Amino acid sequence: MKLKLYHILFPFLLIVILSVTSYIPKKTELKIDLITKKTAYTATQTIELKFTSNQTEKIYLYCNNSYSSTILTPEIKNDSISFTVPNHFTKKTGLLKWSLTVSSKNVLNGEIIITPSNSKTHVEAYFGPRSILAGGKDLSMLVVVPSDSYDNPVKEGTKVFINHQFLSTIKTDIIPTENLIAWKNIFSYKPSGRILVNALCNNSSSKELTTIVYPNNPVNFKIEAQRDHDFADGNQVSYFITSTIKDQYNNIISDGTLVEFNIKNKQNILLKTYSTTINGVAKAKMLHPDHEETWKVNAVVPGMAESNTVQLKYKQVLKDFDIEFTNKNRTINVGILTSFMDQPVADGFIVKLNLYKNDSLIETKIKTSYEGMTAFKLSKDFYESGVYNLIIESGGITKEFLNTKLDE
Amino acid sequence: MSKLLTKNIYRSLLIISFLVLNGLILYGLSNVWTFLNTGADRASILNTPLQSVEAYLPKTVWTSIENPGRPIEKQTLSKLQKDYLNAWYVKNIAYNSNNLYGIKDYYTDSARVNLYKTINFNKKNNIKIEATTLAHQPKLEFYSADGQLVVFTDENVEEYQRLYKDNLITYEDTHKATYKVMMLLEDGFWRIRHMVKQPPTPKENIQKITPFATVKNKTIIVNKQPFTIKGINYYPQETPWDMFGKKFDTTIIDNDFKLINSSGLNTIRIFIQYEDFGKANVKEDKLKKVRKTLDLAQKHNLKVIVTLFDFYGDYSVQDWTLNHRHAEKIVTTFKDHEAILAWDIKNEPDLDFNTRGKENVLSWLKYMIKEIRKFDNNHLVTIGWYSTKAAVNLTESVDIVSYHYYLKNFENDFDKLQKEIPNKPLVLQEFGVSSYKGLWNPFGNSEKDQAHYHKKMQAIFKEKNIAYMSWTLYDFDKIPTSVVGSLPWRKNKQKHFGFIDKKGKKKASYLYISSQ
Repeated sequence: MKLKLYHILFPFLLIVILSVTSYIPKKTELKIDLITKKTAYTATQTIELKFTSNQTEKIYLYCNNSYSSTILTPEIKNDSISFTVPNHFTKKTGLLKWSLTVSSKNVLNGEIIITPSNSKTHVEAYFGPRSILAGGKDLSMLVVVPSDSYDNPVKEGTKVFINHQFLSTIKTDIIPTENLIAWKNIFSYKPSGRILVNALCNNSSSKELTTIVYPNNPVNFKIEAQRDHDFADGNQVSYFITSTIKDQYNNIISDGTLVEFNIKNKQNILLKTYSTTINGVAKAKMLHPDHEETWKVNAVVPGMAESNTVQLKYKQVLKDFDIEFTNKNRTINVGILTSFMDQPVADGFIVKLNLYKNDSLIETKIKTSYEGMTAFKLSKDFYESGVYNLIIESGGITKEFLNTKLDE
Repeated sequence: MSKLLTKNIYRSLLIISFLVLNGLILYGLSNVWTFLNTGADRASILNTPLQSVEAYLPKTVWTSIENPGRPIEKQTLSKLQKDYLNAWYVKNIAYNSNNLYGIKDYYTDSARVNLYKTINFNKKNNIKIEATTLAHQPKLEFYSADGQLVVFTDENVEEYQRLYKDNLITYEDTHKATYKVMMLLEDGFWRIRHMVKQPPTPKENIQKITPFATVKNKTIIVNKQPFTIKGINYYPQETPWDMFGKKFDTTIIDNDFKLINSSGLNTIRIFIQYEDFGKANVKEDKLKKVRKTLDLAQKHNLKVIVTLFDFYGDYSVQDWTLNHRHAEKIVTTFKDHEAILAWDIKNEPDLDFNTRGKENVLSWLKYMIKEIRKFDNNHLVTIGWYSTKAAVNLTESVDIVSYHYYLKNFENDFDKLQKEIPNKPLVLQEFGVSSYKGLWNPFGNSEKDQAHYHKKMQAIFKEKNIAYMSWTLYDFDKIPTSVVGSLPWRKNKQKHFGFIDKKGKKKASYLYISSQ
């Protein structure tokens, strides 16, 4: 009897168990909806995305903005889930993309646009080049990057006031921002000087920035020569002085501009001297020649400007001089060398001795005068006895002594 | 007598120990001498600049460099592009490791704060990002007169991102967006000052398509005719796994193709090695050799399946842009070549599932296919799966599903696969049996067994109209270690899969190379 009861109950139990177990694994279909409909925010406004969901397991929100991406975990209340976007995301303008993922699958996607806040504007300005040339062709460019207090570029089309001052002029241009920036070319004026600029946006100002307007390239100029006398005494100095060198807009060229003076002598040999300008004037010096000479002088600022040519004549100072042979012709005394007023020439006047033997030059000896005198000594250790030709030059005068016999 | 012997033994021992001692001293001295003479390369004294390694090469095309500021110099533009891409690269690396390294170089003081905040947040929440960008189309908006500031719009940047939360993939996708970017030249680096993300710029994309092959239902169609692949995997006998190397010889290939065609086959499969071809900078001479091969195939009326990325195995997201440039170069070079039937993205990628991660491999393949289709829509795309089980992956991305089969239950597994993939053509891309029976495998198959196997397979192919490509035409003399490792029983087995033996004699199996 007992056994029979079991036999009847068993199939029933089996049916009950099976029906219960078949119920459990049945999956509920995922149902998620977005509650938050707002898609436009200004920077730092709190962004909270709310969803209704019949599932709360393994739900995350992917967030991506201009600089970064991250994953947010939800706050769950009954059947609603919400995500609070962290403020380093809400602060940055532009597109904020989000995706709701459930068990690593993207279920819902959305986009939010964050616009710049109306808080205090910070004006960043870049100005360059910082030195330009006068004349109105050269320019410095001012680029203004206004941003809100969270370092977001302001809205496109925000007005930027660009001011610049030069001498007595102050001008303002109103430029709307485009592609994150507002910019203006500030051209130089004809005078040289300094241009100051600043930019204003939403009543905030940038720093004062400056560019220096340098004089333009020099134009041709004049030179003149100054000297104390016109004698070729090898002692005094001649000066070459430029006129005030200016650019085409009448600005005196920058101090320190190098001027090169070229002097051509009678033999077409080029002598050079240099000077830099102060207040547009360059002054160069050159020692007088020691013999009769004609100089043609001109000056250039290399590659830019040149001057007229000035011609200078130098008169011979030495008319004649005495030569005395002593010590078996081995000591030669030269002098007195006299200058234009019969005074002895200045110390250091050059005397040259050319020594020939059998028509070939053996040696050239150079000595300088002291109190108008000098002497050559031909030692027997160097110059053996014999017949020599001696030629002595000084101050443009040449004296020859042929077949001079040097003895022991 | 014995005294003398002992004396001699002592004497010789003494002499030997003296020699050994001297030897040791000499050895020691010579080692010291060698040590003192090794060290840094002498060229390093010259301090020549380091060659920078190309690590990040997304497709970047300047759509316009016209701007109201000042004309940009070529040199500046290339430096700007390099620094801009580096900015993306260091950002990707930083988000991957949550480490700030390198960011200072490419973001200005105020901009880098934005990255630092997220990195700290992600570090705290155990979030890791693998990211790369696939395409950039910058348009220059402004270049300042002093050459210190640029603004450009990078249109429709294609970004791929995979985010891990607690080491589990939580998000993976791509999206397009346009960025307004302002950069400043600081300390010789172009650095990002502002970056504003915007919705993508709508653009029409016109691509001329002249497909050489199409797929309709389950059939491949070439020249408006249904085309059933009857093919073979091809390497020249002398140069297996090095087809386009120094020994490349068109006469050999010409003869082989003639033979293949005459044996009733219509398709071959060839392989392009990633490193051998120069990675991201594909070597021109290699491409010339490929072109010659394709021209010969065309001449002998053979279609070619070109397998890319042979011997490549990294798949990491950081490597993607380099792989994409490799594929771009090859695919664009041959996009108008009629001989190619399909690009086979990778040989047996499912074998890397365990070592490289299935997700890594699958997303690599998926985006590689997308990239290849960007440059070439004339040819079909397939993946050479090793197993029929893996072949069900990415069926929506490929045109042809290819699988290899070296097991013993073909009919059964094929039926199963056909049921799982009812809407794409299936190609048995590799099959075969080695006729190696010898020292390393005394119970292996004989040439007769091999012939029998192919006969049986051909019967199945005929009955079920199955597309096939056998492995392979020749027995090989030498197998590179990189193919099956250095174990002799593996190497020797791999040497004997051919229909023609080492001496050039057709093996018994040759009769069944096709159903002809």
